[in-house]
Amino acid sequence: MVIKQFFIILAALFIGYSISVVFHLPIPSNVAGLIILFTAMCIGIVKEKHVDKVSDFIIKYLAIFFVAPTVGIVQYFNLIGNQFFYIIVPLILSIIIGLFAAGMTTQLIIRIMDKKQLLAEKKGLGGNDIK
Amino acid sequence: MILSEFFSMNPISGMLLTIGCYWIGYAIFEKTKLTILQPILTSSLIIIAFLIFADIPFEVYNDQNMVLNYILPLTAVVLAVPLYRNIHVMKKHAFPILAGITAGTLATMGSLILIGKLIGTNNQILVSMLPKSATNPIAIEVSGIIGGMPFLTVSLVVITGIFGGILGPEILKLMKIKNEVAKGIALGSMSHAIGTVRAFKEGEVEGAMSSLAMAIAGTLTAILSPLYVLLI
Repeated sequence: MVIKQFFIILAALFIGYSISVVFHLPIPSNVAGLIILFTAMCIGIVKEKHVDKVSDFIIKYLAIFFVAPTVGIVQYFNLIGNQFFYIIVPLILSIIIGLFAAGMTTQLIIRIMDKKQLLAEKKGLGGNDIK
Repeated sequence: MILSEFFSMNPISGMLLTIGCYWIGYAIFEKTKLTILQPILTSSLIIIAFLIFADIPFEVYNDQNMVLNYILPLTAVVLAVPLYRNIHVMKKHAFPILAGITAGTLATMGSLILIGKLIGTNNQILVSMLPKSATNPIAIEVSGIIGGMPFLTVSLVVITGIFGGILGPEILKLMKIKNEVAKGIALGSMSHAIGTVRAFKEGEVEGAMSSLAMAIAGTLTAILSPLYVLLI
């Protein structure tokens, strides 16, 4: 039922808001709501079928909600015009550095763990030979 | 003048414009499948051109989109669902995945501040740039909390997504990052939903990893931004 799904999602946001206000958390209430809904799903209080329809719909058309805020850039045209170079250079470079850091870290650790596993398997085989 | 009065008079015109232009943008994207022609980019550009042409202030247009703006906070909460669906792909490589997302998020925010400070980027702009790799539902809220300009952040998030979505896989190839898991993690952590769509084109594993990384990196950005902002 769509209403029930909407209620559960709204409830997660409600609890997230309450928690971030009560504990003065510097994280947005909707991120707190995300963490709460995710935790509730992992524990099993909320099942995937309880929220899937409304979530899928919102996620599919997520970008619509951000059209008006994106249009809001018109308010900063003057500011950006002067700062264009100072925005685009750190933006692009930091994305490239981030891609490298995320990709290389993941790849290196996977390789090291695979090698260790391979070594362990070889040792295991060696042990069998002695027996 | 007459057009702007007509527009302001009817409270439905703003949302009609938003949905209509998004429809056009979506149709263009479906036809061309070009990453650069993101519906949010084309629709925003059409609306900006229209507002300037018709001399309609942004505030008037934005007020008429309040219905969408009220539901906006919900859009971050529902990201829990794809995160939950993809969490199983993490079982085998949980440690390298979490380490990769954390390294990427720390590095991109750290290098952004460092480079911005070195070349002398305006401080308030730099603050607004900080959550640029997070998905928009998270980035817009984070920007407000850390004292940035949320509307500027949203645009930068879109540019970041498009850049990573178009050039991300090529850049990763140059860096000799070939592992499927690593590629997906890098794309999702750096360029959120737009990067994830591209990751799915690269492969199933890349796509699943990317959607996982997008939610975790976004959450991490929300937690880390208030600390990073102290450096600016």
